[in-house]
Amino acid sequence: MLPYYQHIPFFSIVLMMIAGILTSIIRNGRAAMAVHLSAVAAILGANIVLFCNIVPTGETFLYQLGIVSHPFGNELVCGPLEVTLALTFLCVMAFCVLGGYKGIFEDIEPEKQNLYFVMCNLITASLLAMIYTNDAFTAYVFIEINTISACALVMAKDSGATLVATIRYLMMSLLGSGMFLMGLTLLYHITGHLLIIDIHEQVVHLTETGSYLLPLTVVMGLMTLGLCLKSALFPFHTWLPDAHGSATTSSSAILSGLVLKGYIVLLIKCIFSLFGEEVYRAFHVGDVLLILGTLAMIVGSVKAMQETHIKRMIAYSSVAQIGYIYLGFGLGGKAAAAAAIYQILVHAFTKPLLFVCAGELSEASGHRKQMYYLRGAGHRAKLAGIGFTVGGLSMIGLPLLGGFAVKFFLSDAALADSWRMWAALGALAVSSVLNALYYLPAIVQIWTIQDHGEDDLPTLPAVRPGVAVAVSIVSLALGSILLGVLCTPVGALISDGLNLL
Amino acid sequence: MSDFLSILWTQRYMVTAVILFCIGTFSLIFNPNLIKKLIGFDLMDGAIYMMLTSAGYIEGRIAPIVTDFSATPSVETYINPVPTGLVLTGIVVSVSVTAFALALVVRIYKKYHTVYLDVIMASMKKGVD
Amino acid sequence: MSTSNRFKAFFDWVDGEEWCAKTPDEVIARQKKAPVRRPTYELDSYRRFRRLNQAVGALFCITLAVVLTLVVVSFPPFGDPANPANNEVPARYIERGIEETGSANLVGGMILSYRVFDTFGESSVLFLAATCVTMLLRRDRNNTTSRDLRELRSDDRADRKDKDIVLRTVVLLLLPVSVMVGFYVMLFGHLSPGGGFSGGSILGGGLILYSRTFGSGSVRKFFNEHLYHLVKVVCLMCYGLILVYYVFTGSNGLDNHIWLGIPGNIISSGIIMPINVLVGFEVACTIYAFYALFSEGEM
Repeated sequence: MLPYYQHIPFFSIVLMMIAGILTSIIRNGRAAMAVHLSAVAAILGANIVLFCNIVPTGETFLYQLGIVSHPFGNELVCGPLEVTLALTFLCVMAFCVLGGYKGIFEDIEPEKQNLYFVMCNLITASLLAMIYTNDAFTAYVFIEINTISACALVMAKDSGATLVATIRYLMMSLLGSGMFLMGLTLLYHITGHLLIIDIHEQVVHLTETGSYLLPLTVVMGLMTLGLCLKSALFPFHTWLPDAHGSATTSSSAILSGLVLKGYIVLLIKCIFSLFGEEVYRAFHVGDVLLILGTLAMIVGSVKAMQETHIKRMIAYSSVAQIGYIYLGFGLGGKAAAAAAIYQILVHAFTKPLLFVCAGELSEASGHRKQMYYLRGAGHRAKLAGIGFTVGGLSMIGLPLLGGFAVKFFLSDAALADSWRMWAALGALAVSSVLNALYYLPAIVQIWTIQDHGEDDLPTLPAVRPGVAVAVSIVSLALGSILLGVLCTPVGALISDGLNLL
Repeated sequence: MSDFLSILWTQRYMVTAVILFCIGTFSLIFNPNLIKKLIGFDLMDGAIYMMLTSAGYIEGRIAPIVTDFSATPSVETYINPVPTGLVLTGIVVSVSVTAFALALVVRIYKKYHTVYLDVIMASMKKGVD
Repeated sequence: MSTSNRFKAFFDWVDGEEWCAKTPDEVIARQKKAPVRRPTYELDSYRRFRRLNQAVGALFCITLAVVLTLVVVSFPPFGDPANPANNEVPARYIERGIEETGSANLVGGMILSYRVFDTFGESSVLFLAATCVTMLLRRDRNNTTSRDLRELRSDDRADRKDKDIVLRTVVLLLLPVSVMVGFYVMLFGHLSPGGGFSGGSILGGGLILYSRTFGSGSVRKFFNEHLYHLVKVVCLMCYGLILVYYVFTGSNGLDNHIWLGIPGNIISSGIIMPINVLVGFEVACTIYAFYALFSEGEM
């Protein structure tokens, strides 16, 4: 018999999928939400147990799905890094849904509200599967589940703008999964395996013998390109602002905070488990990622500065933040990759916080989302204003907040390499200044007291946040503060986990 | 040159798949018509499945369905069943995605009376909701 | 009309050009139901832009094609038994497939036992697509106008009036055959080519044929939305439970007590035939749901 905790990854995924299937026949939207939240809470509890069991010992185990182990059947893999990511994603998922629940019940037709939670359940399942899988084809299937349900989250609001945003998102995603599958097919041709560890063995063997080097390069390029397309790396980010800016609050938070990260987690698996870091570096794919990441950090910030729509501004800021993650991969080396993973955690907490607070602030300003109308919104919705301030300052990189820790780790890792160091440090500096240039005015705008002599804004009543929203904002803000304060232990946890991958 | 051509001939299924894949990609990215984009997507997936199936074929062997149960099936008799299975899984996925995307196009057509993405984008810029 | 113009008109017709608005002004006019004027100059600017776009695209795709062709040319030769793909994995599936899964169809046995987790994911994708189509196309106040309802009613009337005896006889003859073939493909999925998805599609095709000929009202008498949800959820849940049992016992190295039967018999192959039937019903429901939602917006 296996130790009981080794069953947790599999049961988490299947429970989430079964919850998704059941939710489709629950007519009442609120009941469906209760089912979703309790499923997430149950799995969160289970994953905490798993965390406590394997992190102290640094144990990594394989879990065979069925009667045979690798290389014959599907398999899951679980180690400290996987379980940390899973825990973060589950927490953030619950807080995203809680934080935007008012929007969900306002924006979506009553008879279709339960279907929204079907998507939430399946997106959680697919994220967990992408984290835990040890099989490249399973990863593809769950990428598709993730794509369809993410598109459904965007279109749930059912207005013209969201439909068009959805189709653009879908087309880009389909291209991405097509590229990924093509890469996988070519890889199967030359390695003959589908499980990540077996492919890795074959890839190492091929590079040692020097055969099939061109196919291997193309495979790396195609798989990386596919995942970059889906995680909105510059210049493939064009769909992102529309999709994240027009969707309902919860959807924007989930998409920015989690869905993009799911694909990046898969990319980490590709780099470190599938190809192996040395091979990946030898083929210079990382340098392309470094350049694109640097460009994304700057272009995303510049675009965000030009936006006056608050949600689109935050969405463009996501483009820049994704650039930080890719910068980490592009720098090469475990330390930089650990910084990138740290950025995944920080961004997973901070971006949903910003979206939830922006949703609350615009609700306090008569559902208007232009910066101009948000003047003084912080006084009308105090908690959301504080949350927005914390999130914005973390993005700028104020010490003791998550964003600072990321910038610190990234620049620390960049010092190892000469030309990459200049690119990275320059991009970090420019991007931090640019971040400050659009987050600070936004923060100042929401805390400015309305002057009725000068502007023509109506006087609006103060809005009290519901309990759920308050819990969500406080927890997300706490998350991004804790990640800043506890950067040493969490950073050590991540780099240990990365070494075990 | 004739060597290259003979290799092209041996790999004809894969070369065809590659050409189809590129036509599909072209149509998916650069055609403004949403329906044609979807046709491009299906072409692209079809090409990938063709490529995958060609990985499993072995000259002179038959489909992996056992009819003689008296002896243990021999590897020499049957082709590789793995790619076939993957294609079965993949086809269902692309059918589902196509259905979803077509439903989206139907809704967009109802709203904007066109399937040209560039026209829709331009009219949204002009303030059409 | 010159030949080239004729060709152009034909291609436009194939593209469904006349049904589409071609400029933003036309979109606005159509939304307001105002008469449509077609300004040509703006159209030309779109055409120019598209041509430029497609030239860039063609360049990109030709490069991609050249690179990929170089890749496949360097690949292991087609049909060679010594290819890397023909390693110990397919060898085991072929040699021990029957004894471990009980299925004579080795492909079906493989995807439903060794790779059952993938296949469950695949069924979930189909479920998800059905849910999304429901979300988009099921009639509600957001996506249906009174004009749509009028059109649907008049279609329904026309269907009822139009009792084409030839069509009805042919469909009545075809229907039992298609149902039988569907069940055959589903139930013999572990012995011959076929399985849940193909059998379910044939079954769903039969339902669509019936609905097309006798009107959706007559399908609703025995297959309504309630039953659809019930069948879909029950099938997927049973599939999920089988998966959980199979994986739990398998990963613990326990004997799963699944009776594999005598290979070649209909009642054999352990979990594979039940899963094929469950998936078949789910697919049949989903295919019919796609048809019903696309054509009428309700089941």
